[in-house]
Amino acid sequence: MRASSLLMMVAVAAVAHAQADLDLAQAPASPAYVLLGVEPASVERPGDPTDLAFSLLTATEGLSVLPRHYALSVAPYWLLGAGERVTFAEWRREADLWTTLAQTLDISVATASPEDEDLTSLGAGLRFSLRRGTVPQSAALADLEAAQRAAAADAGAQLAALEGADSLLVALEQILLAPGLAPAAREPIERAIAARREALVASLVPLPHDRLQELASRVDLRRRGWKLDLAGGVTGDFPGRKVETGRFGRAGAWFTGGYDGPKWSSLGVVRWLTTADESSLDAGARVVFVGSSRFAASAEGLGRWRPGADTWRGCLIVDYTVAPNRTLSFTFGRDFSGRPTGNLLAAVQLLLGFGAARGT
Amino acid sequence: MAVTQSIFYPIGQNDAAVVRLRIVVGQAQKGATSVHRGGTLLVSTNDDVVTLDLGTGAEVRGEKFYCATVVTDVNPQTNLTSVSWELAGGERVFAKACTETLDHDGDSVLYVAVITCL
Repeated sequence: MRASSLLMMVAVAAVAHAQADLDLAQAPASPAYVLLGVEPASVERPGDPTDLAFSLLTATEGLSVLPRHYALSVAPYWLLGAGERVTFAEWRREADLWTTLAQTLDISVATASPEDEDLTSLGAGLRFSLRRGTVPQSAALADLEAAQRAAAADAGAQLAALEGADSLLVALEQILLAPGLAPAAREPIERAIAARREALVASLVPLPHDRLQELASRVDLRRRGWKLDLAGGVTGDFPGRKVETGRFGRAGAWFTGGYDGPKWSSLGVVRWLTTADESSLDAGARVVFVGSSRFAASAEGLGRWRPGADTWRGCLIVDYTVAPNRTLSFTFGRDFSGRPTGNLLAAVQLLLGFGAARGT
Repeated sequence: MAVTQSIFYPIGQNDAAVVRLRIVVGQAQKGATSVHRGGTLLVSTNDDVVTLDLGTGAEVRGEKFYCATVVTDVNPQTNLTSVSWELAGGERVFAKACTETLDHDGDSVLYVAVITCL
């Protein structure tokens, strides 16, 4: 009993290492949070420039203080309204270099303050793609499309029937369409029709929001094909929360790319991290084979170059889904040298998921 | 939640010209559109760009077209949705765009435009 408990503790520790390093295979969505070492409970995602200004002014009390805990993520292309003419069909496909860069650019900013220190750290980062792959058609997407079509057709038919039976609207339209109506007399009638129509639209049977939400959550928006992503960021520490005391914290850059297919994917990563005291460079690759909806296997190799402490890790991971949101994961291999628990990676872990996740 | 537009489109003297309707679902969101003429369904599609010849000026004068578009937020980078309507072939070219910001990923909104040809 005691031995098995110990084994489990070692396994959990080893898995913790494995999970942390596996994240290297993808450029982080928000480098500022990664470099600060925070996972914000809530992230401000303003929808337009007014929202952005409001969020910044509120968080900084009118640009007078550095907020203690704040996280912001902004996609400038979409924030500035450039997406009004971008269709889903265009977005899901590959695009030219500049379009891809602009549409995928995401800027993250965050602050964090340790509870027991009078210090605030500020981080800023950005991430973008140079190649983004494509979102494939799927059965889940077809289901969503069918439900949307039915809802749109139903709403249109309902409104046509309601308007045809509404005596006030019919009377107003007869006046509007009467020959010889002076242009000046049209405007108030058009306003009255618009107002009456808004009332009729409000009385339509509501959209099946829950059904559409459920179907949308099943759509896998993970892009397939060739991908190339870049991310980077920098942090600064501000003792006493004063600008003049600011000093460099750390900086990092990620360069990831490869091919992501339905059965096989092969992704490489180069990561550079530096602090005021030391720098390190990681480079490696991961190959993943998805045998079925239940079975996946992957192999990963990663080298780490640090002054006087070069090391590497390599491991095999097999995942088997035993039930929805229940995955058994086996990990075996060699971890980086210098771990407090040794460098043998050998773990069995039951991964529990909750709810449906949407890929990005 | 619904966004409603009443469009009064003058045909003028262009009886022979074909009136063309174009509807665009933007912001890389997923949409579906139906167009009814009175109670008759003309189009039901998931195309992001819908182009439809409504008829000649003489044929559509006095007619109403009901355009219903359901947009679901699938773009992980924004919760903004937009639909634009364009009409050509009448007295002038008409263009109008509406936007709506949704609260959560996966939320949906109904855009309704009723076009009355004068």
